[in-house]
Amino acid sequence: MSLITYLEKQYDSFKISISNWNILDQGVTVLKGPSGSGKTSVIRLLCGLEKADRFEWQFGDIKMNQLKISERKIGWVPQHYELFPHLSVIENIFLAGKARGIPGEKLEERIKYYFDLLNLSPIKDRKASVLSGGEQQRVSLVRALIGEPRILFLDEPFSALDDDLKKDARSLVRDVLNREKIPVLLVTHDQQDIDFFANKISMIQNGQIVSDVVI
Amino acid sequence: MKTKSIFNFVFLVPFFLPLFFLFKYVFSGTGVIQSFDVAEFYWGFKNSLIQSVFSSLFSLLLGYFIFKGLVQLRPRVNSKIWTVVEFINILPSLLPGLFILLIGFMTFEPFPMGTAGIILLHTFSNAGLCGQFFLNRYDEKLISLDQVSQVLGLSEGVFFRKTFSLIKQDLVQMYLFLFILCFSSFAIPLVAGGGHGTTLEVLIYEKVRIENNLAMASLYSLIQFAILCLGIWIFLRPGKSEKRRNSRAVANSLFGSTFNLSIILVGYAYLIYQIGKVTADGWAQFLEVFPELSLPLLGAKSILYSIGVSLATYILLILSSLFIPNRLLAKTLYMIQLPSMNIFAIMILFLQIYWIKNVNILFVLIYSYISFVALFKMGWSERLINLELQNDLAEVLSMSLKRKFLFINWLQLNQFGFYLSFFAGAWVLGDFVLSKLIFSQDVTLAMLSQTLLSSYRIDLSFIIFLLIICVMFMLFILLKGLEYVVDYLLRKAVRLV
Repeated sequence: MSLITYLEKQYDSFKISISNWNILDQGVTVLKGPSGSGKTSVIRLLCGLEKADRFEWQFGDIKMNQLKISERKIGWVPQHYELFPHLSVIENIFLAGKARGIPGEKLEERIKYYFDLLNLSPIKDRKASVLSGGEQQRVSLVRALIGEPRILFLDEPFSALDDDLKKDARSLVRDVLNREKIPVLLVTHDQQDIDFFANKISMIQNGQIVSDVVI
Repeated sequence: MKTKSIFNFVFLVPFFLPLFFLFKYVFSGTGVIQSFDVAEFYWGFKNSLIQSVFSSLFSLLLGYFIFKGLVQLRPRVNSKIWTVVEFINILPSLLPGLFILLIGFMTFEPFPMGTAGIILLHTFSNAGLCGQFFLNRYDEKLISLDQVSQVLGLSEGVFFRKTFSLIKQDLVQMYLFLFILCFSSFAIPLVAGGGHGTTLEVLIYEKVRIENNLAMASLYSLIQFAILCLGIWIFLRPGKSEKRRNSRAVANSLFGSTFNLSIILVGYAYLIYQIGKVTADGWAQFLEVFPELSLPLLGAKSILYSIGVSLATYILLILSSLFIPNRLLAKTLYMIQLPSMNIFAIMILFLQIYWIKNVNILFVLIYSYISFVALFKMGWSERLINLELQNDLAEVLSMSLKRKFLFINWLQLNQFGFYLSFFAGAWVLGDFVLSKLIFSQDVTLAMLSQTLLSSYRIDLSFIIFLLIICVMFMLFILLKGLEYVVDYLLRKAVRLV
């Protein structure tokens, strides 16, 4: 069970106020809403990057809100992927795995697994700054998953891709998510993403969850 | 978070030390307020004000003239040449004041000593920067309107009047920036001011160096500090810089002027001719007096100071990345005064009396500190802000502070850090201002060059300056090498973690 009992944060002229919001244990919970509704702010608050005024998040036996950012073990794919541009693909992923303390041999196994799954081997030594949008997305996804996260956040993961690429990318991501069996929070306003992934749809408006529907 | 707060405190305290010393000296000197010479202060302040007001104004006017030439030149040269042109534009503002002094003295004969001379040199040293400023604002705000206006058949005058309001605010800020720069300038007023053009900075220098009246010097410095702070508070704010558009494809502009371009090119040709002539004359003199100049000793000291300052500045710059995403450092540094050398001389004297006895080490440390404050505002702050999201992400990925610092921040900042620290090294190589205040005799090549300049041996002084340029070049090679080594080691470490 992953229950956000309450999450409140007052910004200058905007307030996030969420209570008793459940993120599915398995499958994809979609956080849907128009631009400026507070979707990305919710992600940043859940990650701990911004300090909430009031916050309680029960994740199984763990009170996530009491953990430091690094201890929450969240996988995050930001909207523009934000790979470390000065590092190669393998270095980006290696660094993320090591940060979570994955031992060397296991890390290599996992890297091989994901590289085969997402066909990243041919580009493993390329610098992140020269990758295409689709490649960046795949690397960012592996980087988020390599550290065995408790939960995965996908922040508009397809918005930076061309329409032609989106369809293949969605299938690939769904394939990966089906294998991972971890809760996923997908933030999007794209109806096609929602139709493709959603097991539950939570609608956010002006910082509040206005509807919450399990499909 | 607690560790970070302690680190913030430890790192930021030195930035308030100058203020502490100034207050301490003012209040420890007996009868400072009573012996305050209003007429003397007014004299220095008036000269500072006049030269700053007119230097800034003329710099902008000449900058606009240069801008029109640059707009004309840009579509006609390839990108490599254009990069060199842009670099040459801002170079006079980056090089030590000694460079401008020498160029000024060899170009204008007889040189108009006094306030006029100060204004002249400040104008020429900042005009290229102003030209570049106009070009940047033009690219950001006016270029599309310019294209439309040409199609509509508007003249340059009408276009300028109608669009002036778009850049008015930037213009005011630039004027203020130049004003602060000129108001706190020391090297140029000291040499070019003569007896008639004594500015506030020179007045403080005389109090420290000649009268040994640190209390009064501190009081003057405090007043000057207050004026500068006010200006900086209005002008300097940290933030991301606006993106310039790629405007190389624009062939025609309403502002382009072949006449201006020709004048600029003729000016440069004359300058090159003068440099050649002075070098030829100076070289013969140099060979004659070479044994008397103790150049190996001065050269060695210059090299050591420049390496020391470059490395210490680099370390400060890199350490400052530990503050991401904390804005406290940025706010503090933006509120701190531009380097008023006199204040730092007082700081060195104070520190030497009480704590650190070795004046060489103190000189390097204080100069690094001054350079760090200046360089932080020259693009470093923006670099740190741009790394904020990556730091957030690294934290979510559970990266430790050490890993974040080494592999995300340091590795990405390494190249730019060495690039900026080279300027710190170049500044100290050309410094005769702080060194004149601290050392009783010439200990560097720049001090020797300035001594020769003051005795009107300009040719010889220029040859010494050329030696400084050679040392600068060596420093650049050294720092470039170090940059590769650090980059290699960090990249290797990424794989070994």
